[in-house]
Amino acid sequence: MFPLPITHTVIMDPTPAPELYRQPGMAISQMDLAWRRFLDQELRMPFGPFPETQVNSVLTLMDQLREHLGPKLRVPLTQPTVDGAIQLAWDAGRHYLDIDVFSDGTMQWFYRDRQTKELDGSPDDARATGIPPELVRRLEVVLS
Amino acid sequence: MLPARGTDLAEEKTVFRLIREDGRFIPPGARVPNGAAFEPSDDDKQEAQATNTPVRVSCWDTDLTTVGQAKSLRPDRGPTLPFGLRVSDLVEIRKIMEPRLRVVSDPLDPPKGAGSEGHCGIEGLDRPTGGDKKRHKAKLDEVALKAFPLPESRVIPTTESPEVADEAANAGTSAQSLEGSGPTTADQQKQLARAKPIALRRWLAGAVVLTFALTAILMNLPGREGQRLRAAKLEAEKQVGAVRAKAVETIAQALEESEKAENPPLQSPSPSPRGFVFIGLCDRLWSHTFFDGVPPCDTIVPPGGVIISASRGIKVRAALPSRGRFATEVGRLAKGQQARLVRLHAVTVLDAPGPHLYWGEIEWLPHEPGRGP
Repeated sequence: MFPLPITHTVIMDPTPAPELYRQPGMAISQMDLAWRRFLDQELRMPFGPFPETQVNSVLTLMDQLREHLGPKLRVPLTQPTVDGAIQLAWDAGRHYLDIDVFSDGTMQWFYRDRQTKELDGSPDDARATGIPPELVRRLEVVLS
Repeated sequence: MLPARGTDLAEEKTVFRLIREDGRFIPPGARVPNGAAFEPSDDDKQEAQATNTPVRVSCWDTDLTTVGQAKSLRPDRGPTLPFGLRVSDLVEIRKIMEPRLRVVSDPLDPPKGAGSEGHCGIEGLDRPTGGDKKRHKAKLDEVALKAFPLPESRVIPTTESPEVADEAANAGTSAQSLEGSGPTTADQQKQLARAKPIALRRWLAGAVVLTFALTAILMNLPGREGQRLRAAKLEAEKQVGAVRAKAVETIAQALEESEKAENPPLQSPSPSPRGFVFIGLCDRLWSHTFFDGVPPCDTIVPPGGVIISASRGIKVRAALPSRGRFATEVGRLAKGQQARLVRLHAVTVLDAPGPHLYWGEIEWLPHEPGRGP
């Protein structure tokens, strides 16, 4: 008998799949599920250092970006920053973009075109609550 | 003798920085580290204030400290990954982006163990008061672009010290030879513990290289012998596919059979218009399913659900399984019986890659009396 009995089965994400991916045709990839599990098990309190509201802000942000960008939105490098934010970063070689999500639900973003040295992002120390159109436009370039 | 604190490192030097491995989600192809790994922490800033020195981000001189030594000197950091930086690269960045950027000696004083003298600091990575944040982040990004992964056992013996030589020798020694060296001290035991994963990694790397090499040779062999070997390779690949398919089938069978096992119910039986059934295995496409008419697993179930038909008898449960236990059986779908699928739930087997298990939330159809609860 193949040694994978039901006793080794765990619910990875009991959230109904339709709520994870709100639009038809969006792939339920292993990566997306693994990312959500990482947020739950390594970042969200009590297992991780970040309050639930901050992790939820990250999920909401990704949902909103998905609405704008559709299936081309890739799972980002996700990590804590020294100033208590959760950072989402996409690096496409020439183009780089990151978003820092803070505990109060606000965020800052940064974009760099490494070839032309063009910079964009949140004004110094200003934090936004919504998604600026410029961020979507820049992220679209990074993901293209 | 300790290097003088605050003196610039020579341009031909290489330093490395330990970056935390845990608490980080790294999707395939993502570049690590990024600029965030070089942002000075609050501790770095406080230490600078306390010592009246520029803010320094910690790193280590590869000539004086091995990765293993640096890790043991900073045990509170948890699992870390070493990334190298050439001082000459930082000098280039200094010329175009940040005149304050420099790497200086900053030996641990008092020394905390072997390798303490190799501690250094990178200055100029903090954001100047009133400085533009985007330019600051661009600078950190540029530094991160110059970082490269450093093997755990990496030592660059340009000015070899006895400790460096010892560590290099140990890293190159197999776990077996260390084990066979008789009584060990605590330090030797630590080295042994480090050497085992190194030896295993080397063995695995060797196996991978050998596999690629053999494949390359097979694919380039001329004539009939090459054709025969290529055919044999294709046949072997087919067999691997068949084994995988068999494994998937067996998982499904195991799921079914284990339903007969003594799993205590999770919930008390209660009549419900809805239930949960094991739908099948899917990795973007269904590789195995117990139902006909199931929508692709990478799409949402449309509002109102879809009608599916059981291709074999299957139990209906009160809830999703959890921690290897099934919930109470609330009914059974007979072969060919229809139900309305309203939601799909993704479940997995341990952390193994491969197809997900999918369970469906179903509604009994009213024209099937006696089948439901």
